[in-house]
Amino acid sequence: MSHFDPGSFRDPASRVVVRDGVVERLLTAQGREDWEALAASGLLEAWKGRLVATELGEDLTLVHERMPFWTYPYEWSFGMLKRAALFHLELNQAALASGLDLKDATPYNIQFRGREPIFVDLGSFRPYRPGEPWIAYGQFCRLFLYPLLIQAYSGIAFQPLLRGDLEGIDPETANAMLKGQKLRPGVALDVTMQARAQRRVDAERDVRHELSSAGFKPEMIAANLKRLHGVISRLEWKPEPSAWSSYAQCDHVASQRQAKTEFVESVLRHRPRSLVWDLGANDGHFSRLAANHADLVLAADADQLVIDRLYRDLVENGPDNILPLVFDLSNPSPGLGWRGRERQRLEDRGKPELILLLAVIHHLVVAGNLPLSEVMDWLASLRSEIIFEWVPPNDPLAKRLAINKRANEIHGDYNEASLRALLASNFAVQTEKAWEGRILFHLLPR
Amino acid sequence: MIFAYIDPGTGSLLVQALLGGIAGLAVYLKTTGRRLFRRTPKVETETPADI
Repeated sequence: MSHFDPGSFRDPASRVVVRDGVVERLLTAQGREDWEALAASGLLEAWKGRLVATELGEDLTLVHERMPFWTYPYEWSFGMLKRAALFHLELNQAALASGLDLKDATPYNIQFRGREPIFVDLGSFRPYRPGEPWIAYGQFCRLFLYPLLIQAYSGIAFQPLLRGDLEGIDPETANAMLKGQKLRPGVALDVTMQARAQRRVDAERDVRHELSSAGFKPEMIAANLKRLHGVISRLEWKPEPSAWSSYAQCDHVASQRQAKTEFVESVLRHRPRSLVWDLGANDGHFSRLAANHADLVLAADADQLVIDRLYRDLVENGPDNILPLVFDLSNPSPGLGWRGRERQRLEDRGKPELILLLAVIHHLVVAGNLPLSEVMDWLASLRSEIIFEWVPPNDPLAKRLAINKRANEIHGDYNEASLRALLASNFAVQTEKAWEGRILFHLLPR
Repeated sequence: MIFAYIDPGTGSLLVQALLGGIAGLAVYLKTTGRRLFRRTPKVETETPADI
């Protein structure tokens, strides 16, 4: 079975096809020429482990290693996008020094393998043509720089903006969002001047050619890359504490952790799993447990603050097989882009062998107003093993969530009897353990 | 668009002209019609067409 990767069609010189699980890049003659320039540059060896591992296949093809799980920048935290941006600039500097150019500058060409960024689009490299400016600079601004500036300087989360427009944030919008921040590094030149220049340019003129004739040099690109690296390195996001940022310190969490840890460990010890999803991961306590028994753990939480903190902790202390994600289960990433297929839904990017859904159900049902039957139906559709924590309506925390709701504003199926019926029709209950009104279930798909 | 498969945005090229020193500045001023330091572009006053 083979199909074109639905997100790979923009580059006329190369296209990715997945054949029996093997990822291949088909090249045109031009694409092959560019590849040969890359292969001769020494960059593949110097950046080994940070570029997608690739071998030359038959008939103008490249065979790429398969990424364990694909994610998108609108699912990354501030620290992850910042890391990806610096990584891209460093790669571009190295390419330029080897006589190469990157024809685009998009975070969609970068994937995180656990905590480490990997550059996956080897079709981006081509020989640098003397006199050319940095063609992808505008794209770099829209998809890396502006989101970071807006979050660091104005405190506006970039994820909804990037999810809203796959091309990123245009200079005019960024300029408006950074009003009052004009004196801070990166704003006056990269945002305001760019927005103004874009507005005033005479569309008839070929600026690219004129720059080339005026003697544009690669040193100017190198200086720009270095300058941007400096600006981005110093960007910090300093948020106020969020609703979830001190979750692990709460009394109820600390006392429940011991009992939950033992239950989760006992399931994890059965056998190693390839992919585990920890939904509502918070500080990643259970993701870390799972990481000892799995190839890769997705640690997803809707709160960017806890995910950013987890990412920084993983960078410092490991392990390297946890991939943190900003992800709201009640409003998951949809299919986006051309035909709604260029960027995929989470469920379409790889099925987990095991899902952890601990202390999450009351948020979905009470705060998110989802019928319990809907949630269990979705879980069953994933056909995965699940560790599920039932939080009943009379649980103190479930009650706290319901404090501003009338009784009839919560779906009627939020009760243990309905849960039991839904479990019976969708899953095989392997084991269960009750304490303090909550119940832990180990569920197998039916 | 006259560019390759990504649209680099002419504005982004002009910013690079500014970064590129004197020669680049000349390109910038020429291309933007020397309106670098004016806040808003001059709007031509339109005369209503005869009905």
